[in-house]
Amino acid sequence: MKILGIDSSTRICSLGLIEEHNILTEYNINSYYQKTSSILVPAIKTMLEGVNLTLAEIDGIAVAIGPGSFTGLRIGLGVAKGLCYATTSLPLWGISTLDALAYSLRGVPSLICPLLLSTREEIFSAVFRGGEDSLEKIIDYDCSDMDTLLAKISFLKEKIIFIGEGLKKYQKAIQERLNQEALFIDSPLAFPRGVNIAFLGLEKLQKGEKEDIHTLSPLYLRKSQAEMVREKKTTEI
Amino acid sequence: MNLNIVTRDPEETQKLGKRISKLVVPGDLFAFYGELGAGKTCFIQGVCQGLGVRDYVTSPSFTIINEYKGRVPVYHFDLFRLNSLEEFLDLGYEEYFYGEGLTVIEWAEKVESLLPFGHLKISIEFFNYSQRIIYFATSSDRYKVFLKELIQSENIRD
Amino acid sequence: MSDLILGIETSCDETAAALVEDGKKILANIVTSQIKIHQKYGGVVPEIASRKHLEAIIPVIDRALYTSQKKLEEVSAIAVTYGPGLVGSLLVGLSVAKALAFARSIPLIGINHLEAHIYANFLAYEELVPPLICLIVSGGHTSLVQMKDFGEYKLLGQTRDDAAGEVFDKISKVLDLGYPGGPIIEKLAKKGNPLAVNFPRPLLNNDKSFDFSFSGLKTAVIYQIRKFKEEKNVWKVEDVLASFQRAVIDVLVEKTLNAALAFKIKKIVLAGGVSANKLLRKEIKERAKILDLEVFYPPLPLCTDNAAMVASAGYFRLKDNKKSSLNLDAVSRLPLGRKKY
Repeated sequence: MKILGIDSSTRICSLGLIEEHNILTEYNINSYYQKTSSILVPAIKTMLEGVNLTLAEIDGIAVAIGPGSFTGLRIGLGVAKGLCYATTSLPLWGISTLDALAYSLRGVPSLICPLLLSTREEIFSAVFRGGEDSLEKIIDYDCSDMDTLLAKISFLKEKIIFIGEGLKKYQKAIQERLNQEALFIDSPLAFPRGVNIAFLGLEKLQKGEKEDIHTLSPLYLRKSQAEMVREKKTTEI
Repeated sequence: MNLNIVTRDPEETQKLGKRISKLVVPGDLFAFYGELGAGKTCFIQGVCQGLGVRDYVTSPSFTIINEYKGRVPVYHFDLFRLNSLEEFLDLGYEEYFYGEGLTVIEWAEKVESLLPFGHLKISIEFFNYSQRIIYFATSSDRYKVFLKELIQSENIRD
Repeated sequence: MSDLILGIETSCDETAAALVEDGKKILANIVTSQIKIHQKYGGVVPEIASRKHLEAIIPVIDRALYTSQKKLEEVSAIAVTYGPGLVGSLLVGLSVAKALAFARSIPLIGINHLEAHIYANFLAYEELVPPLICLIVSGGHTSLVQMKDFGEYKLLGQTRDDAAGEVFDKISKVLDLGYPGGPIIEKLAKKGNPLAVNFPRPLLNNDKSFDFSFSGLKTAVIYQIRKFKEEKNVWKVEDVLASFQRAVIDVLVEKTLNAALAFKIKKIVLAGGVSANKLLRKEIKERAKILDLEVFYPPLPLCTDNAAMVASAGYFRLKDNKKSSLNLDAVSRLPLGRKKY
């Protein structure tokens, strides 16, 4: 089973093509050099050509549904919907970017908290419990400030791993607040990669799941207005 | 700090904008207030002219943001059609507000809570059909200096 | 063999798809309007518009194919609007269009929205050919364009501030009449006296350019309404609206006829949402007749945003062998035929 994974929710536009448990090819490009809206379809074309495959030889497409940039997500979903519509019977799966980020730590027996940091101080988060061959979501996707997130996590008394690019600046605040052991992975590799999206798509395929291409929409998470106003006040004082 | 200037007609409003443009540095942000027809766009046209923008400066109430190239790039927001903050968040506004250009915002009251601390408020009110009272207000040091310079240059002119 | 073009349009608040054969024959023209959603906001809200486009785009394309009894395999090219418009909205249509073109290995043709509006006329009038003077007037645009040949345009003038349709919307909002303002004001203006208030006709006198300016007129109307309210005079809102509408139409008609005379072009076409205004149609037709000029305007459903016009424009581009690359990006401000400033 060959699955194409697409993520365009962050500034890295990331594509991956897998076959069962093997990565066939991967393509990442920073939107600083090529706008995602321009590059996405040509990149898919180039990537497929690189492994001598056509769209017709793919068994399904997994696409990131967020959280992340709304415009970026709509580009990815628009392209994925178009590809699946044009290639009748090609199944489509929507994958959360937070699941994709946590997927990098699959098999690590610990709590895993993937973080996606947006420029406007919003933090997208979720908490998973990692098992030998599973990731169980124990706190749902949310968009909040760090205080709100830590308040939710602090009652979990287990070791927790935070993963996400740029989270270093929160490390001190997190450690001061939490009683449990916390590890931090802040790496340029910590973004929702297309291959992870594809692997998660494969899991959905094996479970027999499939999205309706007509209705699939992004996860429009947003910090509550109350939080934004509060934050604004603290920065002004 | 406050400053009021009365302009006699749209032309004068535009000229005031042009004069103010001389004081603009990258990263500046002007928040405009005033009802429809007050002359916000007119003022901004003057600022853009002064910055050497060659494109027509038209009200972007349809596309929300216009960008113009000038001595300093200008990001022109018109939030007339905006109804909630939520709407505004996805425009990637921070790149503009905290960017390297001049940001001018019409109907700034709609995003008041998102305005950076350092900004200049410019409120335009009808005095009569063609005359307008233009109020400048700020609490940031950057624009206190800005307004002092403006007062000086106005005095020299008179 | 005939060429079947799938047109896609998502530049503002209409999600539209159409199938057009050989640039002239409409097999399906599906438009789902978001007007009802945006009505409560008094205008188009960009984020809401983009969300709705993503939800509607595949069903609308599906419906167009179903209505025309065609399969995607029979389509020879995809034509899509890439600007001007709301970038977030444009990107939805453009992303889907690129994916379809790539997956089917057929050409992608990016179309300028303003150009598409002109093509609404070619759909309606079989024999119509350039050269033409085109007045494109809508909620987002007011432009006078000389169309020398298919695909060859020269921008003669455009609005220096507000678009004509935008002024209708804004005045409607000031008076709390609803959205979109054009049809509402047109209806009320019928019951008013167009000579009641003498509003300015901006850039009409002493101005040889073909540019428009409606901001001053907008201010004059708003000020007039304030004055009437303050003076507590007996006044009819219909009179103000009729006078305002007359002022807009006077300027549009005069400038367009002047352009036709200046460039010695015999045929004028109207395009865009405001070209649905009946008084504008009547007025320009009557005055053109005296000058021995011919006026064309699209049937009402083709005046507002639709994808049939995009498909038609795409057909002529395809014939001209002008295809777009798959890295085509959306452009918010995209003039039709550059103008020197």
